[in-house]
Amino acid sequence: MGTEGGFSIEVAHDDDAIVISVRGDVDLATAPELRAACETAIATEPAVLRLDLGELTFLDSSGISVLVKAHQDLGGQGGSLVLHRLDDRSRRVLDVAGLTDFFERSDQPARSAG
Amino acid sequence: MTTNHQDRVTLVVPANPEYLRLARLAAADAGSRAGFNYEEIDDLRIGVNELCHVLIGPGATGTVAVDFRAESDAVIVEGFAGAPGEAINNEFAETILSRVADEHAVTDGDDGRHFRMVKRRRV
Repeated sequence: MGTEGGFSIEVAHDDDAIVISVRGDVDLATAPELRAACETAIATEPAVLRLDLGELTFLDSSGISVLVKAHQDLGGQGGSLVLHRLDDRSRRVLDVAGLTDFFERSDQPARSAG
Repeated sequence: MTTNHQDRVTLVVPANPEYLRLARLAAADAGSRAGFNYEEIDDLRIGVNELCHVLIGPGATGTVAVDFRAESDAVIVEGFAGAPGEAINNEFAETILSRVADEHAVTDGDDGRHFRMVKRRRV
């Protein structure tokens, strides 16, 4: 039943950025897949990794750990992580995790962010 | 909305993260039955999800039981696993739980691992 919630990841290249679009719930079952996608992307040393979370339906501590690790790894190689289209529910999870201002965020879709 | 003090649901699922979604659905239903608002229901879902992590660590086997009791002003959730596997240490889980739950506790006993969470309705 791992994919019944519609979890999926789509990776695209957009100039010097890599865009990972996430759909569905990111929890203990699916966070490993997101972690792997982020690690693969970061290994190519992009200037920017954009995570489009407009279709994200749930985020828990395991998913937050993936985001924090990606942010740290990118920062260590001079890149940056931007979270796109977080909805109120996901913003609130980051807030209660004490990460209100930790991530760079954008309300624009990642693919047209330039 | 009327609530019944006998309003109780027990969910038993395999000790596998793929079943967390069901626990979240049951939590949302319990919160709705207790008259919670949208934010309180979300808190309950988030808290139950985090606490279920302690029951389904690496190597967990068997089943996880999560009991939801909707009362007039609160939802009480108790979870149990006989073989919960290794503990998952996530630095954000405790911070999240401290903010979304009014009470929460995890205990290890001879029979396995238990958790208890209370989420109260704001007046």
